[in-house]
Amino acid sequence: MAEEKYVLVEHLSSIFDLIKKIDNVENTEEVIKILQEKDTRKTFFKMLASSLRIYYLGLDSIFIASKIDFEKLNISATENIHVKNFSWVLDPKYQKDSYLTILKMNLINDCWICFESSLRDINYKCNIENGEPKIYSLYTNKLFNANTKFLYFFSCCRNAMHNNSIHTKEDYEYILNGKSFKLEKGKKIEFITDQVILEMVEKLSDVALDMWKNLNNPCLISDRYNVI
Amino acid sequence: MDQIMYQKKVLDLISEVSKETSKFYAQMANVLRLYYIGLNNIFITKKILKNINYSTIQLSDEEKRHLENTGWLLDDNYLNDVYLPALKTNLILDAWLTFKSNGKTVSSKEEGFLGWYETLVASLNNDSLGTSDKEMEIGGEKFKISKNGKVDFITPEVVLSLVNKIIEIYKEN
Repeated sequence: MAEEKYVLVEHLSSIFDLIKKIDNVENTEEVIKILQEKDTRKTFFKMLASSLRIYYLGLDSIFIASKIDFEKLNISATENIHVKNFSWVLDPKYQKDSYLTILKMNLINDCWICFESSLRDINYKCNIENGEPKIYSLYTNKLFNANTKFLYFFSCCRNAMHNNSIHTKEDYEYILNGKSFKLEKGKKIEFITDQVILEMVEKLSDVALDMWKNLNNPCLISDRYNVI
Repeated sequence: MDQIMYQKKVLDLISEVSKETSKFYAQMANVLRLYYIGLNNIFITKKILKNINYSTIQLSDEEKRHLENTGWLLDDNYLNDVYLPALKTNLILDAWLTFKSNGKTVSSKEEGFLGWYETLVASLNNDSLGTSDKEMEIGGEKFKISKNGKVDFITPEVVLSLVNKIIEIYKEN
């Protein structure tokens, strides 16, 4: 148990470091610095960091519930029920069967939404593809010169959540940070560990930054959510 | 509705769902628990953690940082612009995935609601901008999704009535 707590704290620190790194992209990358505040390419990094914060807070509640002695607190009966329920997250069965899995699934989905939304904002303004293109057709457009192999891999991991985590397309392999990840048709995706999920989000941030650089468009590309 | 009352309402729904024994209900209860825990984090932070003297708890500097970071939930801008909308969106999506993964044949009347709900999920996944025009009446109130219009009717009460409706449809078919 002591080892598990240690791993959780370490994982929380890794998430927090990644949040800071992504938050800091606009201060370190010239290409983002010159964009206006409401530009979707800038908003993307803010949204990505926000998605990570939600994941972080979900895990942080396990850490907090394990550290604070809520029994000693003086609280009304109406409120006390919610204080007691805070310890749900300490139940190893609930953690394993549901809580941690859904937190990860939601993070993958939230990050993909950030990416897809920004890409659609860019298409809305720059008319890269006519009509309402599939997201695959957008990110494979030569204008972005994107790492399409990674994006396809990420999108498959995200889309599997609509099929009980089962990969429904043809077999696919992607090497991320020197490690091989195989998506096999009809099989459940089970390789998304604490470490892998952070590597995936970090890579998404890097890949998107490269795409925005390759687009090389200094004009304001508004975040449509804020303007409609 | 005040937050404690609302959390109690979510808790009542979890209790109701937990009375049933099939996989669908167990999964739905877990999805609702995640939503409740997300809300409860706000209550615990505002009511308790804010007033705790951390120096009385033995923690490393690294651990202290993780306690202090719950303070993000004290920032109303973060809470209202990011955290609460994300909790609601994730509940709507997770309830949908639970329903779909437990496949049920439904009547044509209910197909109308489920088609609308699917559009809602797609719209929320599209930066909350409607992906097509669709309208639905739930409990005497009309909810309209307009293509490219912002979906802004997802209040805390609405999100619970939507999940309730999904549960009802599963129960009745």
